[in-house]
Amino acid sequence: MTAMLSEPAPAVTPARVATTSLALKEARLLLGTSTLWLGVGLAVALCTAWGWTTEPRWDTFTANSGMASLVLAGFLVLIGHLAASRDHRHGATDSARTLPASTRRRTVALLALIPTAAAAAALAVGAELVLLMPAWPAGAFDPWLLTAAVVIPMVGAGLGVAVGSWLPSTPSGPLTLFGVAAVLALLPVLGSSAGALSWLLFPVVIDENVAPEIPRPTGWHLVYLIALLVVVTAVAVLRYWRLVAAVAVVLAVVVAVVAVRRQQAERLPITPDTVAAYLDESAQQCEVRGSVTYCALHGYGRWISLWQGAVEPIVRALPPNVTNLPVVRQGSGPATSVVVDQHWGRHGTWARDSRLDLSAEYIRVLLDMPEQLAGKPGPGSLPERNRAVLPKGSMELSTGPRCSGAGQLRTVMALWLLAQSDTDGRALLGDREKLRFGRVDFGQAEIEAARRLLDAPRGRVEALLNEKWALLRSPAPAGDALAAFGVAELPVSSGGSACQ
Amino acid sequence: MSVRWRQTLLLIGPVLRIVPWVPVAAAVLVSALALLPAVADAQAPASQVWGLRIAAVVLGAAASFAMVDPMALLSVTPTPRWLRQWLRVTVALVPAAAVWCCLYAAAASSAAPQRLPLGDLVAEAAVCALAGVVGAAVAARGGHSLTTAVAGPAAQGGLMAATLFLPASYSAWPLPGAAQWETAHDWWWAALVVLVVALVAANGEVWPWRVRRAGAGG
Repeated sequence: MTAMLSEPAPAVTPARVATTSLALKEARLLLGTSTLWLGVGLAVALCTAWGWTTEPRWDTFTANSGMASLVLAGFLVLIGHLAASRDHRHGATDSARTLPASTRRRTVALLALIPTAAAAAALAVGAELVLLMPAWPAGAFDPWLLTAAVVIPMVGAGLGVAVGSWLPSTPSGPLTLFGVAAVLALLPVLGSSAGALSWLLFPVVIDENVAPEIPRPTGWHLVYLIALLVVVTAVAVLRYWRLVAAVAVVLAVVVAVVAVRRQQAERLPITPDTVAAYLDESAQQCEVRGSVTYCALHGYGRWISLWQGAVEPIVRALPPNVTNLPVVRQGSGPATSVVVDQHWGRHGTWARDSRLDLSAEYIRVLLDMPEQLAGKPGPGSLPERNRAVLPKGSMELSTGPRCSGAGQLRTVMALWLLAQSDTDGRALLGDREKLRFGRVDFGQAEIEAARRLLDAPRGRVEALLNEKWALLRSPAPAGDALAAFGVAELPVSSGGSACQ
Repeated sequence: MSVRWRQTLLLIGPVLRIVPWVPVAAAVLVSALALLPAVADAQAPASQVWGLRIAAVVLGAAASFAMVDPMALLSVTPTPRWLRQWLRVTVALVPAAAVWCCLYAAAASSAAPQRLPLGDLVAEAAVCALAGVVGAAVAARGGHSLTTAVAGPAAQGGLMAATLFLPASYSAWPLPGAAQWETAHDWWWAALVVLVVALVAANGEVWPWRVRRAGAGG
């Protein structure tokens, strides 16, 4: 038996195929790095923790997931640097020179880390969204900001590769990371208002959206981030394609400057006057549920059932002939409506606090009690929260002088109605912190009277409500109206401090 | 002069040569840049305190690269390991501390109306820097390559990740005058004690336990 033995023809791999297979190898190596998955896990955990207490909205979600992506980008700077400086560690420089793939081809293959980082970041954002379930972000969806959360880790990976190919010594990776983190940490310290230049340079848009439909130049922000990505990528290959890469860097810097300038130009100055049109009745979509009208801003239709949970128990306790029930409006509205803002607690006590706040506010408007704010109210009614709605200083909030609702029938009925809104009304009446109606002060006597009403059969209280409804919406003293429930005449506050 | 002192004096020169001074110089540059906003624009609130914090982290990160002995497995020396390692700590941290003190002086002079409590800020800075040195010192017991020292900045990163994102009322990084400044700094001092104990333990001799036990048994 003879065998034909011949020299196999030398396999010549085309450059493109070789680069592609190297790139795929780099991508697989990155996906196998436990540090990457530690970063993804940390990003998802941070985003979930930051959004845990409030009902999700698109603007806060993109801010949280953007900040989480920034943490992931930090991990990728380190990983990218370690990958790009691989040839220089453990005295491997000489061995690496003997490899068939040139340093240029290896550097180009390392750029595969950038799309791989994008995939990891997209996975993280997806996991963050899934962890919000069963809730889903409300408000206006901004695709640019969601994309920014994916682009930021790409910039991190590109920066790591760029620094690793120019400064391969091991300390330069962590020092670059800390240097960049220092710059990013100082940017917000320098910028006081949301429109300041340093805030526009910050990779994540973290200011809250005052109104869902207010125009925000977020597309330009994404252009700025992509320009940064082009800069770091071009710097990584600058050693091998000097002219092309240098031109790319210059062009990208020009684009970045233009993008930031456009953001400055297109940003709407946030003042009560400019935002009014985006918060008033024309921006709200109304829906009738039960006998109450709820008007939500764009994208907040899902929240109507949350508000309904706060309002419905009160409406059920009212006499059936009460017709002109206050409208619940999100954003702004006349004084006869109940105004809610874009915050709502999620889970446990946070949700309960939001619900009780709205119940108390609904009762306050229903019974025509004096409101918390004196002077011109800004958008959103719950004053302690307006701070978050508008950047500091853009609106003057002043709390009106406290007044006394002691001895008024309306105060006692307000307390009884509020007790109806919670599963354990008696326990609620024992918690002074939760019992707040505008700027109305009251004492233990009124709470005690409301407790007596709670003990009485519900039908008798409803009959009282029916009978005295006109009186209830005025500051009239209780007199002997509650005598049937065993309540002695309540002491009435005299003088000018009584609520009107 | 005792033998230890003579050994120490003889070792200072070689240790000075092996500390990677380029990262240290880069760290000095970065920390000076971090304080630039505070000095240039004293109006920027909090920039002095944050500049000093960033400076401490960066200086500590650079210092941690002095902790790894690539020849540890081969060096049979008459000097104990603790002496060599503590010399590395001293040689790396003394310049870092000097630079930080200069930056503090610059920050304090620019923050005329604001008070910068030196003692508490020193505790913060010492923890930020030592976290890196301790991380690298612990890693250097087993690892002997340059990437071993990345454990230092990684430990600092872990410290940041664990403390920076806490809710404001539990923040470990309050500004001077904040309500939780005192409480937070009790924790900083406690962390400093923990880190010093960890550094003492990490700089000790790496005993080949198995060999020793086998020897004792035989």
